[in-house]
Order: sequence, then structure tokens, then C-alpha cells
Amino acid sequence: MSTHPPQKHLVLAVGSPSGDDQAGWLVIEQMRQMDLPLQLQLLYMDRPGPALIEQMQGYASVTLIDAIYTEQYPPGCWLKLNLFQLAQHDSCSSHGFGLSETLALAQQLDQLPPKLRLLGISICKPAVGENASEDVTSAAQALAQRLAREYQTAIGNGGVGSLGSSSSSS
Amino acid sequence: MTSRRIRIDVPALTRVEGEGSLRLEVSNGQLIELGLSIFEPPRYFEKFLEGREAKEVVDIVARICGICPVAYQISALSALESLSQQTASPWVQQMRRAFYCGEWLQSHSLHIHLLALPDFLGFDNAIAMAEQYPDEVKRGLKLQGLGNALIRLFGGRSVHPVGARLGGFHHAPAPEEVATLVAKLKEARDDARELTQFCAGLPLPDDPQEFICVALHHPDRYAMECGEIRTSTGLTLSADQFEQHFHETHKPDSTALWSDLDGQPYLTGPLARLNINHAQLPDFLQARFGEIGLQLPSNNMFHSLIARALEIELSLHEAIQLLHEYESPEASYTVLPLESGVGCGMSEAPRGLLWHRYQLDENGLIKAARIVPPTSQNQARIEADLHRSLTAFGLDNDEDSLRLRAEQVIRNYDPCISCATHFLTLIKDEK
Repeated sequence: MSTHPPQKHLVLAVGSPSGDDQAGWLVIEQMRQMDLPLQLQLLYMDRPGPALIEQMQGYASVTLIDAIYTEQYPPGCWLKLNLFQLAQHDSCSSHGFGLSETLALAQQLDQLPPKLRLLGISICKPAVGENASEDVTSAAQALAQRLAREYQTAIGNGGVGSLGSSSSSS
Repeated sequence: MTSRRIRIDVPALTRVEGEGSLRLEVSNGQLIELGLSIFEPPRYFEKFLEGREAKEVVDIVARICGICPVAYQISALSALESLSQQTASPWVQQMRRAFYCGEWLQSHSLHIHLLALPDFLGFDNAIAMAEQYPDEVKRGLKLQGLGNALIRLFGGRSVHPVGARLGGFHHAPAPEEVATLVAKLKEARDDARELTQFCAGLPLPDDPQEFICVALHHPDRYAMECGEIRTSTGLTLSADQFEQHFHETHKPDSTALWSDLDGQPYLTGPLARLNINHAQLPDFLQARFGEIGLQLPSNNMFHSLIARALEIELSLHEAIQLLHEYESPEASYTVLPLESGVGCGMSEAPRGLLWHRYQLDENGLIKAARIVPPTSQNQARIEADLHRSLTAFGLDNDEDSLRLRAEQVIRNYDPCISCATHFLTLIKDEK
């Protein structure tokens, strides 16, 4: 009888140090202070571009968090997005090959992880040298707690299929 | 005779780093207006550096660019360390070159596969190209990933790395970690060779033109992390002599500065390097010129694509040579006391020459900084190229064809507009 190594899961935030663009990073910083299953890895990256594709390989599930600038929601809401919706929002990536383009390329190359969840945190326009706003910091804390609870339950029950049932919160 | 007047506006250039635009107007077969505008907000990095301790500079300049942070770090370290009576150890100098190889590898791989190749294979972007050319795109991502891994090895992370410091590195990588990466670099050599052959087999336009080449030259090796300036006009200059011949000016519509060499536009970047330093490439790459039929020096800017592919092969080769017998050093850095004064340094960023100058005061604080990135140096050359190339291409072509050719010409220079936007002086007007 063969035994399989435990599946690894990743929560990965992309952003930059500019103001509210740190939204995803704040989620990771909060989660790093929590008691989480060993199979869950936490990572944040600074505008990774296509290097993100390599980073997502080998995980059974990936939750990707990015800041989004949208007039549809006030700063400090978090939203579950699909690839199409991600492309519609004004991503805060500063380079030509941003998050939505990177994920579209990964999809084209059949290199998306088996389970991918995209979460966006609505923000104000990011400003160089500023801290994140209170609204975005509070949203990041709430999302970190929510994700921690979900992963503790889901991995404890042997899977992450139940993750991501809510579509928005503030 | 029929009169034809067309105006082409490309409000946001795609597949370049940063934000810029192009404006063209053709009337009766004459190009009457051409403007390359760069409008990313200037970022005042030189001003940010004033009053900072010398040791802080290396981490601050790494933030200027997400694509070529190693170049900023190495040029800054070179400038600041010129103010010391001592030098970094041979181990540090070798590992800085290996670190730099990572940046050439990742930046060139990104440019070729995701920014340039769609032009030559007839696609709007890399995502569309990936459907028909998945193996080529995967090869590009693999090579780029190896470059990132090499940067991470020394820098701790691949974007805005934090491992470099005055006198060396904060930590030396573990030998096991290095050995694992070297094995992967060796495996990728075939991919790199195939990439060069693939690029050379593309229907690149034959577009000969005259231009001045500027690149670093090193007596012992293909210049990358250090050297002195050589120009195709016969100049040899140290970093300290840069400002005697190279000048920057402001132009309307641009938040970047424009450079000239004694009043003339010039080229810096992979093709300039290859033209000036090709004799220093290793034998297997000398043989490659014959295999792919490349005559050097080349006066066809479209050969920049092949130059980048050859430099990918070189980067893999150099990194393997530098790391295959790697052992942990006794110390990963040397404490280098700096004296007050002005220090200049430079290196070859993936896009070309990157020159830094710092003035350090008696308290060890930065009094003034000046950074001249490659894209601002190439701007005048890009405009001159556009004038000539579009006219040679045929101004009677339709608008879409002219727009595509103009974008191809610009992308040959792999401009990093984010890096290019800075000002020399900040005038603060308070009322």
C-alpha cells in the first residue's frame, strides 16, 4: 500500500510597498502570526510578473490575493474574482505583464494549479511611500482571520474543496 | 498625384516596461512629426538618496526597477566602493558577476518570449502566441525562472533583492544550494542554444543603418558587471570621465532625460555590447556566429533579438563556470571604510550602460546622487531610428503596418520607461 505525501497549499499575495497596494501583503503578515496547518505555505511577492507561474507549481491549491482599484466597491472590501473579472479590474501591477495576463498565460499553457482562488481587496489609488489606509488594513485583518479558519477546517478535514464559498465581505 | 495625410497615435505603448506613447504624422509621403513621449511620473530617486547613509543606497536603488535591480545595485556599489582604499575580495567580485548573470538571463528571456517574439510570429501578445507555440513560451519561462533563481541565490529574492551590501553579500549561499542550481543551469544549455537558433531563423527585417555603439569593455572577459567605456567612435573612458562626453537634457513631453555622446545619439544595450565585445565571447559562441550566419559588427537593430539570445547562452555558461566549484568563503563581505568625495561606477544592465555618481560627505551621508539609466540614453537613438526605419519601410504602407513597424523598432531597444523617468534636480516652489 502506497502512501502519498500530504498535499501542499499556498496563500500568495502580490503587491508593492506603495500604500494600499500592500493589501495582500498585510493578509500574509497577519496569517504568519496565526497557528496554521503545516501543509499551508504563505508567501508574498512584489509584482512577480510571469515568475508567478513558476511559483504556483506543485501546490494542490493556491489562493491568490491582490489589491484591486475599482469604483464599484469602496476601499476595504474583499471580493472573490474569476479570471475574467480580474482582467476587468484595474490591477495595480506596474508592468505591462500584470497578474491577469500572467494567469491567462498560465491557463493557455495548462499551468494553473488544480485549484485556484482569486481574492481582490478594493483599495484607493496606491501612493508611493505611504502606509496602507485604515479601511484596507482592517479588511486585510478580517480576511486573514477568515482564511485561517477556513484552512484550519478544510485541511483538518482532508481537503480544501469547501474553501471560498463567500463572494464578498467588508 | 494624390495627397495622403495620416496621423498615428499609439497612446500607450504595449510590451514595453512602463508607460510611453508614440505620435506620428505623415503628409504627402513625408514624415512631418514624430514624437516618443514618456509620461510615467518621475520618481525622484536621486533626491530620495540625499542625506542617506552610504550603506542604505544599495537597497534603495534596488527599488528603481523590478526587472533590473541587480544592475542598479552593482553600479551603486561600484561607485561607492571607489571611495575606499580597499577593494572587495576576488570571491565577491566573481559572485557579483554570477548574480548579474541571473539578471541578464531573466530579463532577456522575458523580453524575447513575452515582449518581442509575438511581433515576429504574427501575434498580438504572448498569450495568443502560447496557443500555437507553447513549447517556445515554456522554454522562455524556464530560462527566466533560472535567472530568477540565480538572483534569489545571492539576493534572497528575485525582485528587489536584498542580499548585496557594501563590500560583498550579507550571506554566502550554501554549497548544496549552489550545486542544485548549477545542475539546472547545465540542463538549460540546450534550451539556450535552441533559442539562439530559433531567433536567428525568424524573418527579421533587413534594416541596415549607421549608429554609434557604446558599451563597457573589460580586458579579460565580456563586460558585464565592470569595465571601461568603449565607443565605436574610438573613445575609451573611465567612469569618472563619463560626464565629459555624455550629456543629458530635458525635452518637452518627456519626464525622462535625453542623452547624447558629444552631441550625437548613440546605442547602448545588447547589440552595442556584441558589436564591441564579440571577440571576447567563448569559443562555442564564436562558432555559433557561423552556424547562424551572423556577421559582426551588425548595423541591423533587429539583430538585438539575436544578441539577447547569445547573451542568454553566455550568462548560463558564465554562471556555471563561476559556480561549478563553489565553496563557502571565509567571509561573504569585506568591511570597506569609505572616504568623503565623489565616486562614479557603472555596469551593463540588460538594456545597456547604467552609470551612477555619488557625492559622500564627511559624515558618510550622500550629499548628491546622479543616475543615468540605459533607456534615457537610448531615447534619442530610438527617435532617429524611427525616422529612418519608417521611411525605409515605406510611408505609403497602411496605418496598421506603420504602427506595428514603429512598435517593433521601439521594442528592439527593450525600453524600461520606469527606469528612465527621473530628474536631475528637484525645484521646490513654496509660496
